[in-house]
Amino acid sequence: MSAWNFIQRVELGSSTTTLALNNIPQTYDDLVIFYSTRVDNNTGDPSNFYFGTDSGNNYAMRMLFGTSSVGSAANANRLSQYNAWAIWWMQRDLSFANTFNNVSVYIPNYSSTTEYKTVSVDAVGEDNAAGSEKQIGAGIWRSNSPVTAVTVVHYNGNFVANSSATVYGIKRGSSGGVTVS
Amino acid sequence: MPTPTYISLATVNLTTTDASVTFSNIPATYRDLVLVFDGTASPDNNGNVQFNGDTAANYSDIRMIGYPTDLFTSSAETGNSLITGAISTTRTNIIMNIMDYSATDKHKTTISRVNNQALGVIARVGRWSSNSPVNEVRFFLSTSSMQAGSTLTLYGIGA
Repeated sequence: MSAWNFIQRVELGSSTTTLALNNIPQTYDDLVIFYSTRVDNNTGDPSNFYFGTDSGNNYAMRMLFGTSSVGSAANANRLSQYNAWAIWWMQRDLSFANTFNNVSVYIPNYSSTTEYKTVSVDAVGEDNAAGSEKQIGAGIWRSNSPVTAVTVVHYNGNFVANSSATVYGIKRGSSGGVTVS
Repeated sequence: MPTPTYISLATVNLTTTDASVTFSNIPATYRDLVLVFDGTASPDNNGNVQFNGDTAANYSDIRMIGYPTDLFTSSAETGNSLITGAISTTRTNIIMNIMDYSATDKHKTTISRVNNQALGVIARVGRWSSNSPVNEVRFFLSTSSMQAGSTLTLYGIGA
C-alpha cells in the first residue's frame, strides 16, 4: 500500500487574499503541501501560512535564501529568527507573465496532539527577466494541536486565479521485512 | 489502480531516550530511500548516518547553513559518518534522500535538509564511497540521545 495519499487540491478561479486547505483528515502521519502561487503586486512582500485558526505569536522561522538578477552575481543571505503569527516565504516579484512561484512544505507528525509541529519549506521564484530567488526554511508552530487546516495569506495583495495548493498525507507503516533496533 | 511507489518500510516512535536507531534487512527492490526524523535531543548534538555498519572514513559531504547570526558553506569534508545537523531541545526535522541505494555499480549519494528553527537551516549533499547496496541505515547521536516522542521513518521509492 502506498504511503503517499492525495487528500485535496484547491485552485483559485479568481483573485483572492487567501488560499485555504480545510478539513484535513487526521488519519495520516505527515503532510506534504505543494503550492503554485502568483500575486497581483510587485512589492516582494511575503506570503504567510498558518495552521487552524491560530493567529497568535506561536510561530517562528529561520530561512536561508539566495537571489540573483540578470547580469548580477548571486547573493546569499539568511533571515534571523522571525517570530510572528505565521510561517512565511518571500513572494518573488513576478513581472513576467504566466510565471508562478513554487513552494513545497513538509510537516511531520502533523496530527500529533503531544508535540510541537516542525515545518520544512522549499520555495523558488523565477521570472525570466528581473531575477530569481530560492529559499529554504525551518519553521515551528509552538502548539500541540493537530493541523486541521492550512491557510496562506499574502501580506499585501491577492493570489491570482489558477494559484493552487495540493495536499498529500503520508502514512507510516512497515513493509518488506525491514527491522528496527 | 496504479502501482504504489512510495512505501513506508519501517517506523519508530521513541517512548524512551535512545542514542541510536538502526533499520536493517532493507530489501533491494526500490530505487531510492527517504529517511525522515522529527524530534528532539538533549543535549544538543549532530545527527549522523552510517550505512551497512561502515564506521570507516568513507563518507564525505558539503553543506550550506543559515545560522542565527551567520552563513556558512563548507568545502567537501570526509569522515566516518554523514553528519546531518544539530538536533536540540527545539523540535527538529531531518529529511534525507538516498538515491540509487540498491545499485551495485556506483557510490551512494544523499541530499538532506535539517530544519532546526533555533539553531539553523541546513542543506547538505553527501556521498558514501561504496558500490555496495544499502541494506542497513543507522541514525545516531554521538554524545547525546534522542528524546521520547521522536520519530524516525524509512521509506522506499520504487522506479
